[in-house]
This record gives sequence, structure tokens and C-alpha cells, in this order.
Amino acid sequence: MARKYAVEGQTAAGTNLTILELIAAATTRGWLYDILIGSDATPADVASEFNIIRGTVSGTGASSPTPRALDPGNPAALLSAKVGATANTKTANSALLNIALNQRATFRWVAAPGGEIVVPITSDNWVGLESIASGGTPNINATFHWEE
Amino acid sequence: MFGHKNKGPAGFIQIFRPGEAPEELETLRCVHCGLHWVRVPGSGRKRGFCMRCNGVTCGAEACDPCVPYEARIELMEGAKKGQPARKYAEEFQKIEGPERC
Repeated sequence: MARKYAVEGQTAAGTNLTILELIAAATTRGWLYDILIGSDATPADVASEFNIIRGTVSGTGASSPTPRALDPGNPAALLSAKVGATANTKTANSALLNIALNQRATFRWVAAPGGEIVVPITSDNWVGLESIASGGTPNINATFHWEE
Repeated sequence: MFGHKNKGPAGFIQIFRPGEAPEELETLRCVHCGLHWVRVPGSGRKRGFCMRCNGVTCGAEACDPCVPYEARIELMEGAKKGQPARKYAEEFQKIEGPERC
């Protein structure tokens, strides 16, 4: 059975800012199947647009949270994560999911079996949540669940 | 057309707004690039259908040539997993550029 992991991160929304990256491993694919987006900032009507995109260089993260296994009996995750990464390389026209969201709302996308977003076996490639436009800079909280 | 009927949704969206019932939507996935989108009847957006993959495509020009999603992933990985992906390499290079292969 595939091993399942979770990671979460938070950073301010803005223009072309990477909120959370799920970074490929050299030995296994990752299958991203659950994405949650919300905000813990003071409620306000702020419109933001997000994309799930691909990239080839993960850059420098403001933090690198440790993924947690959903089954505590599983080993540590092979894929890794970065929050608020900068100097990363994004693949043009690689949007895999476009989300327009009011800050007051909470969003969840979950894949049907076989509909997962695939993270290829190529070191430092990543799939991540990008804030491509926002009417403000509210804190955005994101959670990824994946299998590997 | 038949493309919308022969496969189920590839994902589900839930949106929770204060004071409102949760909104639930289904997403379809492009069989070539993997883009997920919410089908909006009457939106005017033109999508495609690949007869070889037997599934819907996102409608982007880059997704008109048939490079199946699995082959595209393998080509991103340098086609090290499956040899069959190599037959799509030429089309993939036109879409993504030679540096990725």
C-alpha cells in the first residue's frame, strides 16, 4: 500500500509568490491527492488567485517543514517541502489547477482515484501552490497530502 | 459530447464559506497535460477530445498533439522508466522545448 504523508505551510499571499512546494525525490514519484487552502488572518474580503504549478528548481525556502506520515508506522517521507520559496524556477504554462478564492473561504481539492497530480522522479523538480495575484497580503495556510 | 460521459470526474472541489452551505464541484483532467478544471456548461471555453487517449483535453494548442500524460511524465524524467515514451519525444520537444528531454 502506498505511504501517505502530509505537510502544511503558511505565508502571505501576493503576486507570483510560492506558498508551498512539494519537492521531488530521486527514487520515487509522488502523487498529490489533497490540497487545502485557507487563511488564519483576520477575516476580510480579499480576492486571491492561486495556481498549482510545476517547477524545475526548488529555490530557497523560508522554512522546510518535515512531512508527517499519516500512518505513524511508516518511514520518513522521501519527498520534501519548502514554504515561501524564492529564487525557484517555475515551468511556464504548467498550471495544473487554477483557484480563485475569497480570503473568507476555505478551499479543498481532492483527487479521484487516478486523478492525482504526479510529481516526477527528477531531483529538485516540484509541484507547488503559487499565489499569482491577490488584492492584499493575507496569510495563506496550505496543506498537501500525497502518496509515494 | 461523448467525451464528457465516458469518464468520471478526476477530482472534487469543496468550498466552505461562512454562513453558507459547502459548495461541491467536480473537476475533469486533461489527458495530455494534467490540467484540472471545473466544467462550466455554456462558458464558451473550447475543450478537446483525444481519440487515442479516449479522454478530454484542456483545449490548449499545446495539447492538440497526442502526448499522453503518463508519457509526458516519463519524458520529464528523461524517459528512464518506460521506453514507449520515446515515441512521443518529438511532439514533446515541440511543446516543452528541447532542454527538458
